[in-house]
Amino acid sequence: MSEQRIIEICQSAKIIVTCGTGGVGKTSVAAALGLEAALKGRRVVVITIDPARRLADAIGLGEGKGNELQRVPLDASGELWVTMLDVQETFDSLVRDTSPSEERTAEVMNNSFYRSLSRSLSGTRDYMAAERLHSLHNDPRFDLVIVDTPPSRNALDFLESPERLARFLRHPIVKFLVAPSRGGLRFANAAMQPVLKAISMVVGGDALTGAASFLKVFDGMEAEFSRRALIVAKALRSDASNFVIVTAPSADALTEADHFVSELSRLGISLQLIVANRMPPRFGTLTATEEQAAAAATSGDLALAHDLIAGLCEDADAADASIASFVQRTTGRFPQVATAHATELPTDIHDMASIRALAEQLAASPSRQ
Amino acid sequence: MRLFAPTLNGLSFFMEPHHFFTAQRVLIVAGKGGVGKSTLATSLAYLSARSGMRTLLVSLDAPSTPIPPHDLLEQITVSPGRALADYLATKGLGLLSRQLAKSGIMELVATTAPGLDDLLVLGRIKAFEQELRADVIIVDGPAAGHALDLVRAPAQLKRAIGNGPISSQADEVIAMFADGTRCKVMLVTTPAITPVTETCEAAEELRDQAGVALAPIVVNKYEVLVPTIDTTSLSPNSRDALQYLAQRGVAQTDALGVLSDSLELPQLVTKRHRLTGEELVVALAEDLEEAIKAMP
Repeated sequence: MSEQRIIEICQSAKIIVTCGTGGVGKTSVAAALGLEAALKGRRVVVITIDPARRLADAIGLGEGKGNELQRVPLDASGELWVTMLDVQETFDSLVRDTSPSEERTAEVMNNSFYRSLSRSLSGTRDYMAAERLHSLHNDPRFDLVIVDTPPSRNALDFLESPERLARFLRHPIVKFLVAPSRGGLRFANAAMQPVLKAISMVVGGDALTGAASFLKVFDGMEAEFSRRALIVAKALRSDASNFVIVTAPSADALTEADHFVSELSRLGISLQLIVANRMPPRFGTLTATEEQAAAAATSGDLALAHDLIAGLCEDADAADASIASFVQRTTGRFPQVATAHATELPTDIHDMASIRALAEQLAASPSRQ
Repeated sequence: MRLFAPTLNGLSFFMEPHHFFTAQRVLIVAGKGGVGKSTLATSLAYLSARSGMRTLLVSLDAPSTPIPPHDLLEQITVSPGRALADYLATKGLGLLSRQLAKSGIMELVATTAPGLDDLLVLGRIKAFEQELRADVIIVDGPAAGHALDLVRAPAQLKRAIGNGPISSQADEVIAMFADGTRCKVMLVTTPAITPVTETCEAAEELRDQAGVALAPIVVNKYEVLVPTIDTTSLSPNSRDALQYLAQRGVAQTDALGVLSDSLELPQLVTKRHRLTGEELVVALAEDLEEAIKAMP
């Protein structure tokens, strides 16, 4: 029963991760689940990676607030907080937390490789998302952390970032770069030469030297980095975590949803909930066939009106069929998964009232399981 | 470049599709998820081919949209994730690049020089343009938010690597972006306020901060407006449905108003079709053709 399941998730989950492609309303759903949980008395924080401006405004996330936590004013026994992920800020505070001395901190911060590392988007952002999740999960102020993943195919990469980091740090070339050397890169051993040559060829020798000096400064700190990351990885795979796929009924969105299902399955993580969002509304017993007949029997604007209503009915039929088949495919892999539906509002979600309306729809969504 | 006999009928004051497509050699199509960017890019490429131009559709990801077959239309995938490996392979370092990739060290290289993947992709597109691989190159580009990163990658990379070995490639790409007759970015949006707001932001950043020329904006999935009718003869359900559609229409009109007020760019409007696959690509190509012909 999805109704019970959503309420159960909002009442007991410690971590909720929402994933889905762009434009399906993932951030709104994350906020709506957070609201639902806060209304049930829980202290919730929603981390969102890259919210659309209007939605950010709706939930009180202004520009340039970075990692700052914002409390959403609510008349509820619980609390709802929202925050964005600022990669640079998270990385900086991680360095400060794990650094043995202030000198070491300053050395890392001033390193050019570190600066480009924390600015470049790939891997680092994933790792910082995991790190931020770790710190908020362990923050006694919160009972539930909701992670709104970025609208990307690789959104679940952050689940593997701890393993990737560990593999990277174990690599011989990294060890070599870290090892105290007598004269820098020129003394690289024979096996390393072609690799270094290739890297220098692409990025230039200076950049490589910068990387080497960063890794030297970083040496010793990475153990703590990895330790924290592995705690997150474990928490994400425990029963305390609930994964939610948010999708719209469009073919594009469902292709991506299928991709997330197989990613979760590959990672050995179970899926708890499907949210079919932006469903075309139904109006009583109207059907496409009847409206088409009415359009044929009339003319002019009245016929056009019936045609448009017929189109809306067709959309609803098509949406129901594609969501049903997605749910059926997904149930094959995750038999316990529940489904909730929310219809598309005539205007975009742009304030807390519309998020509340979405939360109510989700909680009251008829069971399909 | 191939020369085209202008299909002059002397009387036409309107733009013909081939003039539209030859206004630049590379057209990078960008738009956020859900607006139909890839389908639109495919429709543009199909229309360009149908208008008599040798067209190359460059995808940055394995293409998910079926491409209607046409003799003048060719598709190629240039994946950012593989750009570095491809680059090393062309330098005779294929074996090494596979070792690097397997060990995860490729990430170190990419991190050492952020934007490297993007630059290498752009470098290949620039090479297609320089060697006149086609008359028209349409790039099924990045999400709108990432377009700025992509366009800025060469300059950013140059700062990171100084006068490294590929900085001349960065210079060439920068020169391409600075010349609107060689390259333009085409933003795609839908007529809803959230994507419109993001599109306006992306347009300002691309034009004012990165100095890139913008092609007309495509407004996709435009819905036919509900007529004003006497609804007394209709059932309450039908009235509710019409009211819902009318509210959506108002939201659409508002969003388009914001777009026109904020951006002085021509708009190409394409309708929302209840079609999929090739049929959708062809229908949108027809909408585009009509919209282009109506341009002054």
